Amino acid sequence: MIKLLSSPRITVACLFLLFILTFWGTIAQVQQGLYAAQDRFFNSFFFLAAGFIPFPGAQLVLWVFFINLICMMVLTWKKYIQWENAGLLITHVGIILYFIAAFMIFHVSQESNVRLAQGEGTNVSSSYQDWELAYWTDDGNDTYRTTSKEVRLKPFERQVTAFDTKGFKPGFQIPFEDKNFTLTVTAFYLNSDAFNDTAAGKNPSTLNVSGITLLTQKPVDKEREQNVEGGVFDLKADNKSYSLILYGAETQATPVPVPGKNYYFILRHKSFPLPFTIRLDHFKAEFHPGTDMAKSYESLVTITTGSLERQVRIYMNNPLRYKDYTVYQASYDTDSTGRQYSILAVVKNFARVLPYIACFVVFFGLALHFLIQALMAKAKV
Amino acid sequence: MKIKIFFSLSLSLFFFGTAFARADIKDFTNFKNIPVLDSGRLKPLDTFARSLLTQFSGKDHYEKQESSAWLASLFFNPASTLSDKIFLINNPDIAVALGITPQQDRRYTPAQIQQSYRILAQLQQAAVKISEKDRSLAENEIIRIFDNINLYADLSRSFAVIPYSLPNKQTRQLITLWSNMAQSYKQGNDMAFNMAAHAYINSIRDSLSKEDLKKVDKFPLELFYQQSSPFTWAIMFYIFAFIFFVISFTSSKALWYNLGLFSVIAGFIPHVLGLAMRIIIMARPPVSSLYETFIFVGFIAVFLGLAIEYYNRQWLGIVTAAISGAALLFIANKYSAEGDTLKVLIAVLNSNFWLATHVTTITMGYAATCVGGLLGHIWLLQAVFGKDRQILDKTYKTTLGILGVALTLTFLGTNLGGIWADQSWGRFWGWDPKENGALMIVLWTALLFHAKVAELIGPLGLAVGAVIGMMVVMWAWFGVNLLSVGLHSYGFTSGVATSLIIYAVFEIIFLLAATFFVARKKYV
Repeated sequence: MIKLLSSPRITVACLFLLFILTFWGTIAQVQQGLYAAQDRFFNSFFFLAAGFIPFPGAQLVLWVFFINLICMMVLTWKKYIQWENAGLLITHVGIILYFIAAFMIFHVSQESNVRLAQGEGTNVSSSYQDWELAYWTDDGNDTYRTTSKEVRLKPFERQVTAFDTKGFKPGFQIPFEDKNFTLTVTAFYLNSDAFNDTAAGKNPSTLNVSGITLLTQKPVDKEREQNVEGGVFDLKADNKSYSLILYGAETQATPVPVPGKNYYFILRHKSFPLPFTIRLDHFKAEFHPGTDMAKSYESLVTITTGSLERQVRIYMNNPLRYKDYTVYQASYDTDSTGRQYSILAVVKNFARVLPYIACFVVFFGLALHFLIQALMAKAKV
Repeated sequence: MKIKIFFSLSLSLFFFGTAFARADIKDFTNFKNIPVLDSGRLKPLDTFARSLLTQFSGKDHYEKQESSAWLASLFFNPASTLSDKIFLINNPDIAVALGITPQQDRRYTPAQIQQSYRILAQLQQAAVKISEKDRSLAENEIIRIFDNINLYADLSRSFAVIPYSLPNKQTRQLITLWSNMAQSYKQGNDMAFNMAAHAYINSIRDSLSKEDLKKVDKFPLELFYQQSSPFTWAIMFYIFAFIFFVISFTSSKALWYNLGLFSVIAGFIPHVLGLAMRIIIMARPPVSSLYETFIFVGFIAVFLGLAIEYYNRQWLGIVTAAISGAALLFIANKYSAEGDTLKVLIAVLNSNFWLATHVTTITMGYAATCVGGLLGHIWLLQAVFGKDRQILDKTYKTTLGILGVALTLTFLGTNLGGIWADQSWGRFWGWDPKENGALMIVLWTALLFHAKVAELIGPLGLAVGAVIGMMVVMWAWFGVNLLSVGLHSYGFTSGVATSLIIYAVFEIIFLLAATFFVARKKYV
């Protein structure tokens, strides 16, 4: 069995399949966008080519490849003890490191971002493309993000419950702990437009804090972060029925009157609490003289952890590192009023050094191997 | 806006007054060294003049005039340039639409275009409404011509290059000096012209920071670089080397071999010097635009060729060096038509260490894979023409060695790219098209080595595989840019798609034919 699995023919087949998948997955990005192509070709075990032919996805191929590599090493380890094969041994150990790194990063890393104007602070970062329906019973305003100069840098104290919007479809009932009311999805759109149809007049059974009365479906953008989800929910509480409209671009939560309590609902990008608070003190974009081509941009931020406060400069290729978190200067943005926002990417990943190590191990192995080969070839001549 | 430009254009043309005979200033040395700020970079006026003329006419000189001399006539005697054929219109239909009779050399005078400015403006208005992606070649050309004629008009208003951000007093001084230049130009007084230009430079220098002064001090080097056109010399010598190789078939004299080797080295010297000058002028690694990668990959390929020749003294290295050097520099030359090739960098590229490591290693990997591909071609040709076993074996072994170098370098380059991405964006790998392209080269080369170990391929398979490897490099290098998605989609040129397809088709036919003949000879 091991012998069969260790065949170099499997290696060749795996390399060839990966080659094809990489090419195909690149071409497909034009039509489907990066994330969809990534899901289909690289993150999958199987996918259907041309609608009906099953084709192995990169994840399956990589598993087979990994098993093949391990079997090969178990079976032929004696061969590697010789000096002339030292390079090969190092190379393949490095490749195993890569597999481990890829596995860990694929399963544990978490990418999100924060968008801050000067003076703003937050201790929550949000996903680029995943959405959640969040609710809480509180004073209703987003206290952890305020635009005033006096930022409340208190840690995240409100208890928020959130549901992943994946799987929201008409008829789906959201499972609440509180049995005083039920919330059922009436319509849910992955990309939507909101309208304020004043002609229809105000319908007292429609609940929305921004005065939205109508949601329409839009075709899903292949750049997933461009999509704005929206949903209409049927809310039954106290023998009354409301139509709750939530639109992803809203910044305020919609209050819902339930006897005894005040509930607040919001549809937002999936949020992740951070172990620190980050406040933007100053943002600076530098341009090449006489052009609108950015030369560099940087953010001066204050990081608060517990009672400790420190100021850090984050700029291109110089991120802030805190435990497993890394905060990068990703980009910047100007809104319609000319206010500048700094966009910082927040990545949680504890295996980030592994590929660095693997890279240099494999490189060293390859260089050594080909050097030995060259010397041996010269000795023969 | 449209009407305003139109009026100012006709007004300025009217204002030029009567044309007078072109003055004969001969020495433009100081004029060329005047610092100007263009495309985000402080550069000598000469570089600006070259890229301006290239942008207008596709050539960096006008008839027998140097670009700077022509620019001086535009500044100081604009009326005399009205009848210069400087505007390139590739599409004869556009010329017809503008009421101009199409001409063989496709170049037209400002006067001709000025006459139909109103039509041009209308066409341009229609063209800019179309989104950039959907514009046809003709529409892009209309926009280009419109921008060019406006730029021409702007520059003809004489004080165009005087910086407006300086204190009043200095601006006044600069205007006086500029007027002196104009006057001595009209009088044809060489010495007065140069003195005024010199005083002008000094006056500007007073307002520059230390950092900018350092850049200005490099101007003589930049002028030398532009004038000596080192890469043209390099191409010439590489072509000579190839010619000597062809001649060597008819005569076995050692003379031809020595001449061939000498030519490659003679081409390599200006190639290296040109590269070195670019590094010094820009103070950054020489690989950040498509143009620069051609020059750099060419440099590495020729270097590898020379290294091969050092071990195997039988033309193998000379031929690969000559072909790759000449071909890559020739393509680079096509790209230089975009104007000034010494460009500033966008923010994410503006970090020397990672740029230096990642981009140089990956381009070195491209070079090695291409050289491997060329060796694959050579092995196939040698096999088709029935060279003996020993020669074939030597080529095969060399190919293996070069592919080993290629695998090591592309592997390191791809991963350094990952490290760079992790440093800049927080992710090691993101399936970006350019990353995928590099990964494909690594996968393909690794596949060849494993197929060899598994005894699935022999020398023939390896040669074919090496040639395919070269095609994969072409895909990674420019193919993915054509997709115009992802982070690396710099340097998009519409003509590339066709050339790439022609190349691929040609290569496939070659492979099929060669494999067919070689398989019959049982070399496998």
